[in-house]
Amino acid sequence: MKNQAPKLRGPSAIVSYAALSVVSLLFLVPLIWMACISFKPAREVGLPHILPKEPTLSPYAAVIGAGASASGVRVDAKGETERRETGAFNYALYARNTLIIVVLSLIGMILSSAIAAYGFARIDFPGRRAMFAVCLATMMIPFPVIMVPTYMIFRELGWIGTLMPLWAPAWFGSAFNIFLLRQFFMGIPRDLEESAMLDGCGRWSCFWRVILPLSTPALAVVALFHVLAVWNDLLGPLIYLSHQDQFTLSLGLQFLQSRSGDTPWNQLMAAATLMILPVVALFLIAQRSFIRGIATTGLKG
Amino acid sequence: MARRSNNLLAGLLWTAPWWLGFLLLLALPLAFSLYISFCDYPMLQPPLWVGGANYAELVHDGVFHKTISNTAVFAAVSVPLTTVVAIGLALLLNLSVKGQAFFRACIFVPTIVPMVAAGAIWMWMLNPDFGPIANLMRAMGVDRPPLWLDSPDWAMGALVLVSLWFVGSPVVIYLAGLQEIPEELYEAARMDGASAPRRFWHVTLPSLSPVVLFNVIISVIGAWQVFALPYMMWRTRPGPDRATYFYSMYLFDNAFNYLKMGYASALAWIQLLIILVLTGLVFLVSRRMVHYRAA
Amino acid sequence: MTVRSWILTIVLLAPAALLLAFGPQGTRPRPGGRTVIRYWDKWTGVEGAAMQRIVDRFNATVGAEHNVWVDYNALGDVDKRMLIAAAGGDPPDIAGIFDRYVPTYADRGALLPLEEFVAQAGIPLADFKPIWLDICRYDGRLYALPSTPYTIALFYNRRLFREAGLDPDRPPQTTAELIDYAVRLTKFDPSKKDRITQLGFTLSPAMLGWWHWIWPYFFDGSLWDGQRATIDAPATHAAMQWIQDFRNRVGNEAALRFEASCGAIDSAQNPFLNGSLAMVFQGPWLANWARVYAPELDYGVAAFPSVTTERRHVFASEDVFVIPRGAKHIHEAMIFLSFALRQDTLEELCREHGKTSPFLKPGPDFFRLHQNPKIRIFDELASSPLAFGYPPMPTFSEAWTETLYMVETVLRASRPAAEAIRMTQTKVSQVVRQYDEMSSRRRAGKQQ
Repeated sequence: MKNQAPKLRGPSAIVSYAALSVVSLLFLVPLIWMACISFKPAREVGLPHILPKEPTLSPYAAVIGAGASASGVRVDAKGETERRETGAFNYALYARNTLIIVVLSLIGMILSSAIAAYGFARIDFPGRRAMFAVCLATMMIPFPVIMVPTYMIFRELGWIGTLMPLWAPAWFGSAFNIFLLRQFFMGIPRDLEESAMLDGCGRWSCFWRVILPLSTPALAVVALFHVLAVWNDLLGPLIYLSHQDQFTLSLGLQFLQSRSGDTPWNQLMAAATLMILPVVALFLIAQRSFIRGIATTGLKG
Repeated sequence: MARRSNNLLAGLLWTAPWWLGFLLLLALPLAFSLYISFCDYPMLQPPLWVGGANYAELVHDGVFHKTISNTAVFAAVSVPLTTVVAIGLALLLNLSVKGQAFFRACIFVPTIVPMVAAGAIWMWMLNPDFGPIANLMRAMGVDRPPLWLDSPDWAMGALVLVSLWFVGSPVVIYLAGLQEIPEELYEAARMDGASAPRRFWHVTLPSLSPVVLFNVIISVIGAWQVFALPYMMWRTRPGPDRATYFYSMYLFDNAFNYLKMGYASALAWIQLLIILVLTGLVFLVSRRMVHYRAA
Repeated sequence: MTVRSWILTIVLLAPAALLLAFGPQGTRPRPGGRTVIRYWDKWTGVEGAAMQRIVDRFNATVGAEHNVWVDYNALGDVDKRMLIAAAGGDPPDIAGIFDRYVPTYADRGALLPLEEFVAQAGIPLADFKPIWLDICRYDGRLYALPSTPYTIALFYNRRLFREAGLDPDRPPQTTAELIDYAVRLTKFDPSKKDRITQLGFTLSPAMLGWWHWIWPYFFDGSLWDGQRATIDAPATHAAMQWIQDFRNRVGNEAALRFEASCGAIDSAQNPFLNGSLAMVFQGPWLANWARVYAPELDYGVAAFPSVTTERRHVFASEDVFVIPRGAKHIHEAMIFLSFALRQDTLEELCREHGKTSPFLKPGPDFFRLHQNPKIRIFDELASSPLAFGYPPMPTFSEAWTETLYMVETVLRASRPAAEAIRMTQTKVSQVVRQYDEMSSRRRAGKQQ
């Protein structure tokens, strides 16, 4: 079902370009400001002019800091220590920590959400409707309600001080993704599975060989939503991570802001710019299939 | 009969990832938080049962009333506004023009800017002396632009304005909804001589209505939980005359600044109830307005 | 997918894969066999480096002797982190928190009383100035140890004093005089009469940070008498009247507008540094920023004036070390603390942080090596008999929020001051009553 409106021509094209440009500019101004601050030296940061008078790359140098551990100490073979500023943003380390969480949780999130969604979409068992309604309702639970008890559970499991609390829960799927995938699976004609079953396939191989391959657009959407959510999650890392060695990008950024004394805003904006660049690239590459993917999942409730 | 119970086992097995997680990571903590909402619980001492005292206190708590009304006003203004703006932007971004991906990215990227950075940027944007918005207003002849963040009358407006900057996610979902509308419907409408506004009103909007419902629900939930943006923009202060002090911020303060986890849990349960009721209402109202296309 | 998007995907994924495979790992040096002490504090940057140096020295000497390794870890919101970790049963062994949390946490049993351990470790408490230990006590017991103390004083711009015809060697002596000076030091845009270009003094909580609740103390008042909130007292009325007088004389709307456009005082964008704010209520660190960002600034430092010259009230505050209840290595933590609290070590830290010394007799090098030329003034202020710290209130957080609301209401003139004071008193009393009720129920429960 190809559904692109016809290419615009003539005056209507000019009008739409004008409208799009104005709107995009409105959304871009704060981003431009952010980028400009990231090139300002410290003494210019709070001044009203937008463009830096003496542009500098030093905020970026300060936040990239490859090679040193976050605690600021690196011990080489001879036991000599090399120091960098404690509490400085360490992009490479934080990005790596974030990526570890992204990868470990992504696998679990996709598998578990898809399996549970298949159960809700295809197996007609008693109590299914009620269970699914509860599943949807859990989307409304505000996080603070369960924050402290959840912390206690993770402590009992011995997970505090590790990255586990940040990725292991993804292996239980999430209500939103289960909902999304269930909608998609419902749209796949049943005949496909039935003929596979006639061929002697069990449910699992039906799911694995028929349903999943047909669902790549929907799975891609789930993956992208999940990556975005993990990349920017602040509250989880804030509660469960207590050592700078484990910080994620967003927690490192928050730390830059909350440190005592004055906040190095130019470094903070440099770090934020570096943090969103990969996601911007991801969006530019994937936006078309992303949007088409959402369309196919049919968020029609 | 055998078939049905067979199905039960299979169903429970397939949905196990979800209900295991639900029992362990939601139901258990929820039950605990329900329990401590009937307790005095300063976190550092064991919970002490106080019956309905926390809920009774809500009745007299002026700050609670203020945060409820602030949050209700924010939701009442920002949900419809976000919906209209998002649909408008989606229509615009659905136009087939060169550079479409770029324009889409411009609208979407703000949603991924970390809140810490976004809060600071908007504090500068809204600076009444040198911020671009104040400069623009002065250029248009407004002699004394509002104080925005520091004025009890404008702070809420400023927040609603800023929250529109994060409209990217619903826009993307509306865009997806627009893709779904079959071209034949438009052609039929064109054949009938319907003008563009009429086509929007009679074809686009009805076809889009399930997506609107979805987004409205998500944004109602989001509006009632608004926290990060005002928290960053007013830096731990409750805003001028508490004008931008919201429900979740009060909940957070009770839990972690006043060490009243019991009271905070009571607040959280009230919040959950409010959201459930509002979502139910949205569903009820929408019943007549949402059109599901026959499969 | 097109070839282009394949290429882009690879370009995006390759660095991610490389980073995962070869990226830096957070490895902490941890010599095997030693007991690891987890020490959380708020300091980063230069301040963090100073503490890290002390920790390194400890690990290389005393720590090696006693088989202890201190792991210094800087965190934002360290007080809340400690709280969550303690509630979850996994607190650090040592935490560096702000003094204002000591009563709140101590009264709820989150902090370990330290007298016994201090005596065992032989830390000579008699060497410290009494105010710095008083701040560490709650309800007669010692729950914390001083780390880096400071007093708050009046900074004033001597050049602006001269320009306004004031004697730069005679700072204001009373609160009333402060306002007179501040009005004379306020300048308006010649073309727009309601636009302030230079403000004499600020009382805006947004700019001052933590000290909006303090003004009644300079009028011989307080917020707390040890049992009850004392906000609705003549001193608070006098203080709010004082705020209103100043605002009325410079123009409330103009002052609000000026303050809304300024950078925060606790930052390098402080308007005092660029000469648009003539006087400011601030701690010794402002001198550090002045040295870095405004080396030409000609400023003086003096005691902040009180309502009369007979009674000089001085606000004193400090960062403190605490041992959370539930810490696993108390003995080892004390070994480190008695190292860190040796006079030469602690004074090195205070000096690097730009703070004053907590000791009765600062060491011979302390003032000589200190980068702040006015540091003696701050140190002398701490000896004042009327020095006071944060009110030792277990419900101070609520009082803090409510007094903030009170002062902002007065500043905006959105309600009469008397009404704002009464509302605040009522609310805080209610909070205190509820808290006391719960505490007594808890005590009763324990006795049964």
